[in-house]
Amino acid sequence: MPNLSERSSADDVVLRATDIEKTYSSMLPWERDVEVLRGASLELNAGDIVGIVGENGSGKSTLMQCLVGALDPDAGEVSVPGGVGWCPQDDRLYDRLTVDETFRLFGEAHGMGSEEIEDAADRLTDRLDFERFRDRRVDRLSGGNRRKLTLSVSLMHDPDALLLDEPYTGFDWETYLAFWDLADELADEGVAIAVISHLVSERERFDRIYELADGRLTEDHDA
Amino acid sequence: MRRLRVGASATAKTTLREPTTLALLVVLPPMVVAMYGAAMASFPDVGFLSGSGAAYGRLSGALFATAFLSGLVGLFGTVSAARADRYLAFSGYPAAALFGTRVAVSCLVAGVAALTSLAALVAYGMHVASLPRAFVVLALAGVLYALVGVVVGALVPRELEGSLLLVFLADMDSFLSGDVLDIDAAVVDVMPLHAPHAAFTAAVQNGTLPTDDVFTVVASLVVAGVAAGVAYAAATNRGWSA
Amino acid sequence: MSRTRTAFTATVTQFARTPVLLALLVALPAYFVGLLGYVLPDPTVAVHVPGVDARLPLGDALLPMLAVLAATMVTGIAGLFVTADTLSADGWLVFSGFPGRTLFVARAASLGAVAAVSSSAGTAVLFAHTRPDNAAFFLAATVLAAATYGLLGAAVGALLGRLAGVYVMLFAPAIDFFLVHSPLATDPPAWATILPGAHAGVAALSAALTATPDWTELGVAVVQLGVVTVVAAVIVGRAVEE
Repeated sequence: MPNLSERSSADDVVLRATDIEKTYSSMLPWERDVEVLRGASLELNAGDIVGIVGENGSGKSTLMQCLVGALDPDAGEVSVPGGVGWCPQDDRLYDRLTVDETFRLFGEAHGMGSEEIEDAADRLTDRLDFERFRDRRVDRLSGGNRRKLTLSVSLMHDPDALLLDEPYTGFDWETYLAFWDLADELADEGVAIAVISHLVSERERFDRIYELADGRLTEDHDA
Repeated sequence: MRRLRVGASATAKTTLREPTTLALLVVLPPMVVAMYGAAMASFPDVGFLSGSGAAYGRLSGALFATAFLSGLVGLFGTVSAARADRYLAFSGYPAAALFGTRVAVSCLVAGVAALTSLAALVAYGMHVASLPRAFVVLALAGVLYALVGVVVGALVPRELEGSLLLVFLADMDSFLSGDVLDIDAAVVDVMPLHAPHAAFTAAVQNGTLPTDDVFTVVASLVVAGVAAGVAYAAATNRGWSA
Repeated sequence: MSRTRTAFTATVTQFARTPVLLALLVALPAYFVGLLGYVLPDPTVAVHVPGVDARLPLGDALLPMLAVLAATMVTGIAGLFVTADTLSADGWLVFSGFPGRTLFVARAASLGAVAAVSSSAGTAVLFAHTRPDNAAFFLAATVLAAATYGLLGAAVGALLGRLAGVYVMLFAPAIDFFLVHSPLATDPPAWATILPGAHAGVAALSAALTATPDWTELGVAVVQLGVVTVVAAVIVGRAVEE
């Protein structure tokens, strides 16, 4: 379990992004440039649960990749003082490794020891209800279980900020509820969570909801 | 016919909207032609085309560059679009029309590759006795290998394994079909490029197309076409969620 | 060391769980050398390898080079796909904190294992037709050549992607070993000295055809492998981080 005394307090900013711009250009001269982000700004405090919504193609995933540092923005600044966990929209897993082997590999990446990795795997496969698939290869998992594995890998190292891109795609209802229980617990411990989703019907789960439109983030005050 | 046109257009766009694929079609064949020419120039025991090993090398390079590029496009097109094609078939698109689109795009790619390779040959100073005949043979060799690529891609629907199979077939073919060595074995006659190589040499050297070689090329195309059609139909019918 | 071991184990595990690929790593070099060993005619040819000035039966002259060629093609294409297929997962792994250099070292080591397997398969079948004068040295040089092409394949996979990459990795070893540095060729072009065939290839042929292998060329081949390793590490590292 995370050490509560080391977590940030609610006033601490764990992620700050200012005026992020990003345009996708093609090498082919007849293909148009696509301007996705035109000055998006966002601030996450410890313990926040924030939703980011927008139409398909509005740039949500691009924004998230800029926030986590997986994509360099064309302009603007991103500051993430602590550790960040990122659950990408697509499952970037090694097809022929098993669930346990995946935990082991990514746990090593996070700098975790063997026991920590085992504990995290036990805890997360139990919380998200896929422990019976631990010795199954990734390419033989259902889409929902692959998503559970991707989500688990992104938070197994107890980061200060969690950026989740469509994290519960393919989840059954029980697992969806389990995800939110877990998210609430993490937020109580001071983890800041940003969730990109097109399903934010349960707005009460979020402290704030932002809408990404025309390349900019605006707070949705109907939340 | 409309479905064929729509499908071919979609498939062509999928293939050609990759910058590296376009670069492949335009840049690599001339490089292969040049390198084959430079390499064969140092083979003292080869006496072709008035004693010019370099000219022979460029001729072989043009053929192999066209054929193998088309083969790879056939393979990758079949493997990478397997799920999409199966879903199209499930959605009602006739498998025959889907296969037709694959063949149509293979012809287009083979044509472009043949044009590029032939242009490179001429640019490097080779006298081609009959450009139209040489182009036709090159393009047909490309289509033949594209069909071989479709067969491999349908039977081994994984890019790595399929590529290994196609590459080793292609290299064996280039070794045995090139007539660099006087190899008298039945396996030489069944190599896909054996007849196209002879026909292409005749078209470049004499401006003619030997009837036997043309017949063999056409027969090979028919056999490859049937094999590719059967393999593709089997692969498409595996179920759209496979 | 633990991370390197974990990454190496993960890479080898992925290979091991692809039975078709494992079979091809062995079967393709074996088929290539085996089949050509049967069809090559018997006449003697002049051999032009540094340190070798003789006329030899065609099989004895060519088959060792073909064994090297087969191993380099298999490893080159394996390197290409190992890189291209896992770029996004590797990117996430490196994002998660796994040192990119450690990951590359593990991948390079696994390609070394592939090189050893494919080289051993080709060399074993070679014995059915001709026996290299210094088999151990020949095998070592072949592994060097294959490993070099494996890393080149990794770089090509990161730069060009699968389709263009396979095309390059099909022609590069063929031009290098089958043409430019063929034992039948006399004066290879000047630019060919940067190719692995000029060093690892020549070292392998000297071991196959003479009792005194060329240690100098083997040493240069080791240096060349080192250079290619560094270049591939930079190229693949950049691609993973993009």
